[in-house]
Amino acid sequence: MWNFFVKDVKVLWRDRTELMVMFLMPFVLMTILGFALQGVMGGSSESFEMEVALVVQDEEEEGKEKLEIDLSESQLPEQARSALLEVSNNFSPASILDELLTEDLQDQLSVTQMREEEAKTAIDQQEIDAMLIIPDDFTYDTLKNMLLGEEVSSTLKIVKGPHANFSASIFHTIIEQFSESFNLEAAITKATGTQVASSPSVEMEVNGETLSVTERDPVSSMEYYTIGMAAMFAFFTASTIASKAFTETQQQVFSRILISGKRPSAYLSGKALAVFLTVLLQLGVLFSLSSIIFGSFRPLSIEDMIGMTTISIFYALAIAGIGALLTTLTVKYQSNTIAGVFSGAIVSIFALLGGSFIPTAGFPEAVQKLGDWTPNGMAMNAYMQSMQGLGADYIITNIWKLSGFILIMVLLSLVLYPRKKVGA
Amino acid sequence: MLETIGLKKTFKRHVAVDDANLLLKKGESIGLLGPNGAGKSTLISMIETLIKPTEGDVTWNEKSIIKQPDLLRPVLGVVPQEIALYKELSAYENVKFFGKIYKLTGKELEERAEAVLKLVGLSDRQKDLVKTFSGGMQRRLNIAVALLHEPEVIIMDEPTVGIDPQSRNYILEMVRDLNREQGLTVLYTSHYMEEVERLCDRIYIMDNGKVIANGTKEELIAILSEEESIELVLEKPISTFKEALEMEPSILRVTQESNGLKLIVPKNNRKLTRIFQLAEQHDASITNVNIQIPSLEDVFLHLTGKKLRD
Ligand SMILES: Nc1ncnc2c1ncn2[C@@H]1O[C@H](COP(=O)(O)OP(=O)(O)OP(=O)(O)O)[C@@H](O)[C@H]1O
Ligand SMILES: [Mg+2]
Repeated sequence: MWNFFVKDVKVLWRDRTELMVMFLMPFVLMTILGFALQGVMGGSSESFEMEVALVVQDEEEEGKEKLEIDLSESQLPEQARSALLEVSNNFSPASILDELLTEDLQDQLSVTQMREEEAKTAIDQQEIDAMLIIPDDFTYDTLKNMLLGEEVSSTLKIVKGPHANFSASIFHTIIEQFSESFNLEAAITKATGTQVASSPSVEMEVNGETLSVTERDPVSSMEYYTIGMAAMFAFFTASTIASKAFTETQQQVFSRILISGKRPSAYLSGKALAVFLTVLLQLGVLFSLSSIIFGSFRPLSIEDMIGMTTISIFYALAIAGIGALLTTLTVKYQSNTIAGVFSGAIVSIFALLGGSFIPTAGFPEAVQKLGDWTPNGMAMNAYMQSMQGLGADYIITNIWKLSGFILIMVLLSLVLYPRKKVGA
Repeated sequence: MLETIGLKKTFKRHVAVDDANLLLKKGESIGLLGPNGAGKSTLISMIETLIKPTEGDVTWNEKSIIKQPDLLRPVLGVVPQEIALYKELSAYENVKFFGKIYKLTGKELEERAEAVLKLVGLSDRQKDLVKTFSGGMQRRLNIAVALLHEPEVIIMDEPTVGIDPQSRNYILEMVRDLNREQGLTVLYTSHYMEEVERLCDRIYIMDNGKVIANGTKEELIAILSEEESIELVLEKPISTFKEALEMEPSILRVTQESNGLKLIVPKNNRKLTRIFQLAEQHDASITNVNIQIPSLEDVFLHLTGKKLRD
């Protein structure tokens, strides 16, 4: 096996294009995405407690009725119109936000509904830390954005008291993340239908001064995309090793190996080991670069290190499993199609579902569930949980899932590997 | 002793090899000759235990290797038709890798690596990546790798395709020495007549999946012992002249050559006067005439109705 491994690593590493795909591309992409989409993630793990006021100026029912009128007057075909109506009836951005604040975040937030004037007074008297204003026509504008793709901006406004700097910024991040999730819904709408939309923007005001989004610390989104891109590009290492196997069959090197009487397990495990170590290095290099250049993953505790390393090892094993399976199928059918379909289509699907490009939080429940079972989804969840200091219990669930995945890959590879003879 | 008995291989409907019977005795050097697509590679892939025959058997020392490929594999060296090497590795790294898959280790591996690299004349280029090698050098290394584990039988599939005459000569000499001096049994596939003529004790001729003749060079030529060939060098090709020759009953076959025509005629019945007469009638000016006894190439043409290469 060692012999095969050494050869595979050399063949892989002497290929400049492959090196670029393995290291340069994910680095460039994570940099671009990390800066461009900052604010998607709330990176802070510190627990906090705050009092907020919710000022609802929006009329949900009225907004929906207005939208229904817009829909009926639009030029859309009947099918699309009824589908959109369906969505609009079942989807209430303001209610979801309310639910998020009063239920999902009830441990951190205590939310009181107030009128704007009341809330202002409360902030001045330091009774509350911040207020969130859901503006007039929020429902209408958001739905219009999402479903009709019209550029109508609706701004969620946070006003915080000068006494509550830290917790308010976390609150801001949460709201922003929420707002982004509408963008994701929109992405799905776009993928399945025709509409493009922009998310409602979020503004924060400190004593009347508005903070622009770019002034926020980019690190959290950088962390997210470091992990996302690293997880995604690991897939390409698996498909690359499989295309190398295809070259081996085409150039009849594989015949030589077969005739030597070498066990299939030696050939396969050499490939798997090469993928495993390459992916481990890939993850290590990308995480380190992100940490050194962009200050991600800091402060770095020993526990974090152990957590991240453990997850990386399991993820690299999972990718090695994929590499072994792709290799098996490639030599079995002597075709490059399998590796091609994997890197061309399956990786994109995994990347989307698993959250490499955008957080899955905004996807429908079922899609999220699916994403949680993609290998990169499992790894990303585990990394996130580890970074948020959620403790070993959470991570272990994903490690178990990954282990199951690894086992399936290994078994499939060994069962499907062509014994003794190839060809018809 | 390596033998194929009624070997057949069908791909979907297409019969690639049909009822092939080959015998390869210890220390023999056998040539397998045939045009593109004749089924040579398919036939030897079955012998090499790489693909399963549809029908028939392959035996090594009278034991079937279809069910027990491991009887033959350790003593078999193969030179595939492709350059079966890692282009991203150096010559030495390739030799090392393939040596190890044959369980060579340590000092023995080093010695064998050195020996085969020297044999193919690549010792001073061994550190270079294979992709920087010329075609001829790659072909030589392709052979070196097959010799690492000192096989008893070597099967070579067109090992000299696409290389310069010098490299080809080198390879032919080398294979001949291995066969004559070290008793290596050789099965050599080619569509170069002169290679098999030079190297091989016996020759099998394949066409359309079938072995259509076999024997020593002399035996094969005896097939045409009643004929001889006349080469006409013409100033320029004249198609009416060729047609007229084809109509002539005393001429058995006419083929177009690069600088003229080749005629097969019955021995002792060459009607040269008639040929010159026709030439004059059709304004063909003959600049040279050669009368030869038939070559293996002619035998091939006789058997298959086509040339080995276009
Ligand atoms: N795997 C395969 N599937 C289908 N047909 C095949 C396969 N391998 C070979 N053939 C067909 O079998 C016939 C014989 O092919 P083969 O490669 O054995 O010829 P060859 O004598 O080695 O020719 P060449 O001199 O070009 O190497 C060809 O018609 C080829 O198309
Ligand atoms: Mg061939």
